[in-house]
Amino acid sequence: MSDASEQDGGRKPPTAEFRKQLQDIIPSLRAFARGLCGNRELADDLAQEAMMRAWAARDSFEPGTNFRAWIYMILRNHFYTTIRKNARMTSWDPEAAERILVQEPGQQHAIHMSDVEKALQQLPIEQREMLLLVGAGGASYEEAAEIAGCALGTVKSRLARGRTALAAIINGPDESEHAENRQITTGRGAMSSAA
Amino acid sequence: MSDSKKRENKPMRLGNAVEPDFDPIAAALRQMHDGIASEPVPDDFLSLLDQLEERMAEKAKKPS
Repeated sequence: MSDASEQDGGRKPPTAEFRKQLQDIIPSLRAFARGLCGNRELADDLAQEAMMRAWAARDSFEPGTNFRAWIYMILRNHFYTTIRKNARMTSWDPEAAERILVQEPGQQHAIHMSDVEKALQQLPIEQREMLLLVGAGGASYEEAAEIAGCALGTVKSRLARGRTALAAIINGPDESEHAENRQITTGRGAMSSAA
Repeated sequence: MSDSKKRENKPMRLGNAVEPDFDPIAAALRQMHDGIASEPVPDDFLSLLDQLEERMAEKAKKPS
């Protein structure tokens, strides 16, 4: 596919620089992949496959543009292709259950990381990936829109629905109302909640 | 008025954290990400990069 890219010249980024970018992105690429598929080994396979594809397509990357968005897009596309072929790809990583917990001093109810990770896997992928990109990875709405190939408004609504659903799964359905109020107050396009 | 005041003082669960700036879900998501991202990168990731580079160098050497 990329034989032509092996020729010198053109605007191909220098190999060493490209390699460094790839190497630097590995930790967060692994995190994104693990959040998507919920399984350590599958996630690492996914991340490595994305790296190979990125390498093969490196002359299509414009130096100076957003490398993270570019490679996340590659990983995401590969993930979607894979789950289409293998509907049972998502599975819960029991190892993660050992990891505990998020709590602020004075807070009554800690959230267990294992609950969050499990709950994430129950969300529709479109919502999950938005929570991973923006909530976990700190991507901007614009970046998330670029990666997922959707409109900014879609990012925001998926994010809002994902948050609400996540809170409802973690706290039980009776809490979903609180969660909804919260996401409205934290969301940027804030709407007042219905009285 | 005083009623709603009382309600605000009630300890809140997730989604209504006591500290207004602290969002437990956001914090959990970030912690999850940072936890994975701070794991040591497995060796096979780095050897993959080496392989990719070597393969490219070999290709470049071949006159074809």
